[in-house]
Amino acid sequence: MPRPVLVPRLQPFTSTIFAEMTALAVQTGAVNLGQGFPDFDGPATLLETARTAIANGVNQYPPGPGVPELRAAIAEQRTRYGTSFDPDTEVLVTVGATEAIASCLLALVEQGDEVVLIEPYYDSYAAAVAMSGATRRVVSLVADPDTGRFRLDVDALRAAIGPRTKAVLINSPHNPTGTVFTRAEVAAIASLCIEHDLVAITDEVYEHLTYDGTEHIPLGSLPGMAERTLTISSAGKMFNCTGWKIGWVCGPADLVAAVRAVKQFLTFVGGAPFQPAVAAALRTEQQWVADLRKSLETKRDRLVAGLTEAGFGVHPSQGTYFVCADVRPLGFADGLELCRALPARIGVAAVPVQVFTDNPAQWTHIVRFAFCKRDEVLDEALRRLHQLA
Amino acid sequence: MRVSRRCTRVAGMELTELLRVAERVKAIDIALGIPAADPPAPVVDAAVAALRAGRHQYADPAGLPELRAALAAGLRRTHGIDVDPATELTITCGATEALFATLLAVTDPGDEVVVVQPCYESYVGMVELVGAVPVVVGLRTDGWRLDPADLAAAVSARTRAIILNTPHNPTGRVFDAAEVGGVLRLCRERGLVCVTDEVYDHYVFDGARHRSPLSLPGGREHVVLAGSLSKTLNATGWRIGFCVADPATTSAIRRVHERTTIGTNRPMQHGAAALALDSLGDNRSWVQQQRDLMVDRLTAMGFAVFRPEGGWFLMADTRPLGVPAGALCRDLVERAGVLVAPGETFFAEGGEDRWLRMTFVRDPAATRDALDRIERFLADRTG
Repeated sequence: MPRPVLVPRLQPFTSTIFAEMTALAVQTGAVNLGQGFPDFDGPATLLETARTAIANGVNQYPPGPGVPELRAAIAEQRTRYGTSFDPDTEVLVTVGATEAIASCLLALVEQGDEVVLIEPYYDSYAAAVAMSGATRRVVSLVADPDTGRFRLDVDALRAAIGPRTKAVLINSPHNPTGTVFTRAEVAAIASLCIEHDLVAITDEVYEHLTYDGTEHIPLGSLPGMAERTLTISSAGKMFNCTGWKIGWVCGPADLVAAVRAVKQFLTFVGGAPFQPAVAAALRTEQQWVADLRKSLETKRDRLVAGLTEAGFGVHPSQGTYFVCADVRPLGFADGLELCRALPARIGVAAVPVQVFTDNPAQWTHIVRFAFCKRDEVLDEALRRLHQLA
Repeated sequence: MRVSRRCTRVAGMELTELLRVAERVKAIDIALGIPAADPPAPVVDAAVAALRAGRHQYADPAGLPELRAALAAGLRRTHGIDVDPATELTITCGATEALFATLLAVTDPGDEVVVVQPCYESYVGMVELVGAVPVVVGLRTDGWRLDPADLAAAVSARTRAIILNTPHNPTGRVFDAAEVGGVLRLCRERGLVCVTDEVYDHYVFDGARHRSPLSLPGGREHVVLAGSLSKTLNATGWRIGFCVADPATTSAIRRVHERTTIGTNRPMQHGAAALALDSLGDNRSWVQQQRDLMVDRLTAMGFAVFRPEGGWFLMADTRPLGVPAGALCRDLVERAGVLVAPGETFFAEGGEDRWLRMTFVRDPAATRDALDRIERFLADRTG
């Protein structure tokens, strides 16, 4: 192409860290605790319904907003939080949560607007804000000096909100820290949103994966928030099918209509045969999800114990697939350097947290490990990690 | 609650509204390009096998390597285009995502993008969504010819890209060597990106030849090709699109793609990788027969119809019947029980109220029934 190809506002966004680390893992045959995808299958109803759908000819365009039975099942599932959505006007099926996030931002903000992100933030957030032309304001989570839990700094959040702020993007349970915002934290966010008339976009893809009895509290379920919240979730983490790319966004009809108008130009629609399958699983496989949560809780314990034993300083995780670990006790300073060296050195891939931040200095020493893997995979990774000490 | 100004400029798709009426009255749909035929059995089997084999997690965001390899081989064999699947080919969620990611990667807000009308209704909205400004150039309505001089006149200092679509939706034109060459020449002279949407590339009739600007000399430096297997495999719901561009452009497009969807669904990529392009000829001859049937019947009813050279659609001109197309469209849905697409949907500006778009890939019996209904409705109206 004639000029520097990529337009300036997107140039900071190189290939994702997951692509880089997964490529390294493949190259070196390393155990991949970098990318957060599970290595065991989803529930039988889900898989069987999808196979039947494909074989029986559910292979053409689904309706733009998603198949009706899936939208109904999503609305029904959200009633557990005391929230209620009209499946026809307040639920939209997307190509994973990633497309939902991009669509929400493109629909709601533009050049001159500001969006508040909590760091560390999932890779696509900052890129999607840049695509929309808006500017991001970033608030760092802080490690509690007593427990090591990464918590919300409410004063910093308040300070980040200015006259141009239009939206906040909140992720809880939080990737990569595993923090699940407490009722007090969620309430603080809600009151700031209401006070400053902001739209809240919430990424809740790990809504079912909370441990030790920790409750997931959707921001949109708080008083005064339903009318200003776009709630995003997906089947990927719920039913171990990250490669199916079925996500959704729920919210008030006017906001969802705007998101739908945008979404049609991003991908038009998502995969047809997976939609009835996810609908069936949402209705009938909640016990499977409960078992998944229990199994992941055990895996988290396994990884936390192993990492601690290997000499890492492990931060507590109450949810998601991930645990964050401090590499300094092992004598390392830079997590990025370490993650680039690990696959070749001991055959393990992990992800440095600093690449998910605007203030990397505070996060240089933190590395993210995924525990959504079979036990033997975790054990092998831990065996190798022990060699670091 | 407010939405962005950008979003309010993006109109909802008009057809979506008519679809709701059609659903209510159970009209026969010959508006949307949804094929009657199923995907080829080996492809369905491969998709089901992928589900049985547990291929449920993220694929490489660039797309499954075996699918990229199969596609590259197919492009070489059928169109003579040499593509490196590692660095020049990206699998996307339909051609839609390929076009969106390309436009976002190569235009800045305020840049101009030339769109040829009539056109697939998403183009204009997509251009506006990325913040660029659509500049519309019309095909000549007598025979839908593309005059490169008209295009040249529309290019300004702010123009960044031209969107070409061949075989063409909605007119059925397959642009010839002079037309496609003219577009590419203009892009080379003015340093523009030629974005070419070739999703109907396997549907050209009467021995005509599909010409991609990417296969022409100088094409590689200027062309981004958006394609899809939706039409090739009769699997519009699988969402397997792709994007071909030189390595630098591909790297830019992938950066956007990784933050738009991360990648399209994986099991269907395994299915599509089983494609055998050689076996697709039967489908084409069936579609060509359906085209002839529809063109002949509509012509007999008094419409003026351009016989499509390719694609899945035709445009029927209502002027000889003396009725405005928009009104006829609504009447056909509500009173005749047939859904056709109003031609105005495919014009961004200054479209005349005289065209109906119909598809000839739907179920043959239902299509015959729809044509009977249109014929009866027109006869009752005049009688």
